[in-house]
Amino acid sequence: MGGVTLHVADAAVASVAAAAARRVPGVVGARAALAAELVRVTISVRLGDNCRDVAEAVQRGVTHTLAELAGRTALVEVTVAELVLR
Amino acid sequence: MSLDDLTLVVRAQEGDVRAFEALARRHQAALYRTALRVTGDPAEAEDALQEALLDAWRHLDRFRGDAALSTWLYRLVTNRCVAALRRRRPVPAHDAGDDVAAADSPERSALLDLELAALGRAVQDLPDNLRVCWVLRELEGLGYGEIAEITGAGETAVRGRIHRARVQLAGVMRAWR
Amino acid sequence: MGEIAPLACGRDAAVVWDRAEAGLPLDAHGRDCPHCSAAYAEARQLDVAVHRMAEEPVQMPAQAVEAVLGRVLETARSRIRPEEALRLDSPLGPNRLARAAAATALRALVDAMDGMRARSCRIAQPGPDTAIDVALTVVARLGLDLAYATAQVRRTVFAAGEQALGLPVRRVDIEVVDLWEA
Repeated sequence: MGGVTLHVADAAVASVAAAAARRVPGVVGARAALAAELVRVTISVRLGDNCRDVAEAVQRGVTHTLAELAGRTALVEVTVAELVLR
Repeated sequence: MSLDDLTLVVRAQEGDVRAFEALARRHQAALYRTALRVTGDPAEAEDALQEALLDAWRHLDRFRGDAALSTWLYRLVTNRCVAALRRRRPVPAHDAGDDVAAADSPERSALLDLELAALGRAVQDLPDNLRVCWVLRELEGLGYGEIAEITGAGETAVRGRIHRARVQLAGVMRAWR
Repeated sequence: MGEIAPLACGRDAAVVWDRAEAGLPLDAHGRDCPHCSAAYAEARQLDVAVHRMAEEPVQMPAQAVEAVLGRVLETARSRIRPEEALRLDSPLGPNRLARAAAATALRALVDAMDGMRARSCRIAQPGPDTAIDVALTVVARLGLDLAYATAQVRRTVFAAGEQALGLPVRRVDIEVVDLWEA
């Protein structure tokens, strides 16, 4: 008998990913979608924060959260769609 | 900070959505007003406005700065209005007129309204191409040259349509009185 | 097509109507002519009603305006094609920055400077690294020290590229395309 595999629906994964992204400092808004094994996260970043660093932090945060909650190792690609004055 | 249309257009052409938003906000009232006066229907007018703005976003690369942006936007919204008018099932003229009067009524007092309502119905009874030219000239105050650019018709044709519209409206209003 | 039938006296009906609409009086012929006078009077009468119609306020409620704009802008923002994005470095795999977002940020920096407004901001990322080339066109206030101001813009864009975008800037080209008077 092997371990239990928890199957989490794609929509739920996207939801969890977006929530994880929103917790990262500098992120003003986020949404996520799944394309095969790739998690695409689209974020808005506070103008002045370093986009490259924030995007990398979102990658780490989402990868970590998904591994913990859903047991999935995901490839995460972040797109900074907008820079926002806050 | 308020930027001129051309600066906003260039930015929007390069994908700046906020610049496009500024343009949309600046021009939406005139576009809606035109759409309502041409279609006579608030729901169709709102739809025409939305579709025209989407058309503007998608085809902004086609706008060359040689003409005024407002002319180009007027063309987009009147195209959408004409398409909406063509989609309608033929409605007896009086029914369509009554709808218009009811939709506009809330703010006005009954007495003054009667003549204006009659004129409104008369405008909605104009053939589409006469109505568009007439609204652009008489209600939006545009020049013959600009209307020719908006409708794609020659200036002589535009003058002719406006005149025929005026004659038809005057006839209806004379009979109404 | 578009031909206007003349009045019984031979005059152009549209000319009479235009004069009536403009509030100009009839000419010598028109004053004595029953056809011109009748057309003129009818035009004036219609004109009064039309002016009232033109002056009527016609507006969508503010909520409806916001709803329409919201839908339009949501569509405008929704998808970013590959050619519309710049590459961002990351050890966890490449990320992207919308080219338009980067351009907007750089324009905002120029706008914050006294006497200058950005118009076009083109960003190229020729590769293979993530470094960018920026080409700006700006409009400036007449009398501004252009050499100083453009040097300032250049410095600011270099710094912003690194600090705010996370992209090294290789070159910044600035063209002043118009001047305005204060």
